[in-house]
Amino acid sequence: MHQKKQWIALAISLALSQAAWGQDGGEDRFKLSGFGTVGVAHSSEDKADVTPDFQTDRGVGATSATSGRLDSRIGVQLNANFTDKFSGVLQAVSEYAVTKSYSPTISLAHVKYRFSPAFSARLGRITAPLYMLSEYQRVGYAMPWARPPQEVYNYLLPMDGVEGVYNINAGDTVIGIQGFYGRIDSERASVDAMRGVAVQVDHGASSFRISHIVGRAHYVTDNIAALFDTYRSLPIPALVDVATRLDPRTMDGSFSGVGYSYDPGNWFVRAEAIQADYSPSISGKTTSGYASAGMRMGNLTPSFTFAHVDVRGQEMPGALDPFGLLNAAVAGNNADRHSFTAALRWDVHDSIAIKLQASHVKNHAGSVGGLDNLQPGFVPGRGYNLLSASVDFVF
Amino acid sequence: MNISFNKRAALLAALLAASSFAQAGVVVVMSSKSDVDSLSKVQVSQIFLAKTDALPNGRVAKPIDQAEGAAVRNEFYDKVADKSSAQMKAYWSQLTFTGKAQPPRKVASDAAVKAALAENPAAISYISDGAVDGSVKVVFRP
Repeated sequence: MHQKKQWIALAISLALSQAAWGQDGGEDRFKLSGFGTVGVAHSSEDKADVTPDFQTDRGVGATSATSGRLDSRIGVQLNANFTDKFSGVLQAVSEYAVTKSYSPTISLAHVKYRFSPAFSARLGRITAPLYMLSEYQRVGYAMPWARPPQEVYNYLLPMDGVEGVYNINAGDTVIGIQGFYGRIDSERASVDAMRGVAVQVDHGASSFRISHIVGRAHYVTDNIAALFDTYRSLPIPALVDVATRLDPRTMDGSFSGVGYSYDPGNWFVRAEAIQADYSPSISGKTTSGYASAGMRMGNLTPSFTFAHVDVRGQEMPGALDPFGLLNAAVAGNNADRHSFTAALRWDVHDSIAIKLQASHVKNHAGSVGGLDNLQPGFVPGRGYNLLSASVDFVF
Repeated sequence: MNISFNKRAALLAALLAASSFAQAGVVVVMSSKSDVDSLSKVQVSQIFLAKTDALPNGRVAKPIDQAEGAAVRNEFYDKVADKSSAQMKAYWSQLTFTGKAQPPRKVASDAAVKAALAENPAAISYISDGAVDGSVKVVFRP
């Protein structure tokens, strides 16, 4: 996999070095741009961390009550237009999420070819269009909130593969059909043979989107490996069967999403519901969603968001598990919660927005609520407040 | 009731002022050589929001923008896409940083728009009504 990434980067840099920099019919052949967020967040939960991505176990909370890790990042992008039909994109991002360091990673590296006005294809590293905002979830400037609702958007992984987009014009309606195939690879999580389709229908100020994706997912940490290796080697066949079904190291997953937004200009509503189904594994079946409404009053955009998470479908080993470790692991994956968020975006300049945001998150009874780095004294089912202040910019 | 000459003159002046005010608006233009005669608001907004680039004649539309901050640009996006300049910037940051699309080429003035349209019959842009001449045709009047 690593070799393939290098190959893509090499192909793009070769293409860049061979093409001449300059003007072609008045259009820039190369364009450098970027985006970033400087943001701090404060959590009132001091016995666990709110994390920027599901596989990062540190964030804000127990580690540090106030931190820039959740939202701060910078991204730089080079666009290359080789011909009218052939183009390429290279994007690098420095952020704490995923790598737990700010060392830059390549978030986009692909070439795009336009076969016709209706059909184009991309090859290389893209962002899997899992849900409505997935493809630009890092770009704070593009959003009314400090961050997209974490109940739905708690991952930041790019996909290496191929994608085709077909656009149908039907009068005032544009229908875009996006199909893709590829794989996700990261330190803890990977997805093989990831394939799916997303359909978006735009009509006036309305936008409706539906997506369905399947793949074979693998989630591995040292703790998971030790736990499941141990249980699967026990001389209790019934318990081995349960542990095998719960093992997240290989699980067939599906991701479905449905979203709607209405944005006539002075106000907007957005709602999205998703389901990530890894059952019968320990990751279970997560149904989550949010609804958000906001108004634009000059440079100010206040909004209010409600979000919800419900995790089901896991098999509790119960009395079969004499040691209790597997039961505890299943219980620890209970992320049920809901949240209320008030956000204010202030467009201070053409390319700069300041945001203030306050959320109250209520973990449901017995739920860890998706928190990580749990400390002694952590109480499941508690509520906490998350306050954020950030500056988003594009250049 | 007899309307005095002064009142009629004032009324006439008001009408003239109103009509010249209306004509100061933004219009969507293509080259006079283009075989597209008219577009709807939705078609224009879809082209400038990169939701489609298909023209009714099957060609690929080449949208051309005016500089950020230009009054004619702000008026165009306000009337055609119902978006402010900040909203347009946020909208383009969605498309740009996913690698999906790039903002249209920008030119500096109504005159530069007309020069760019003359080069390409599929190019489409907007200028203030007063700048319309024989080189362009108005395809949509917001």
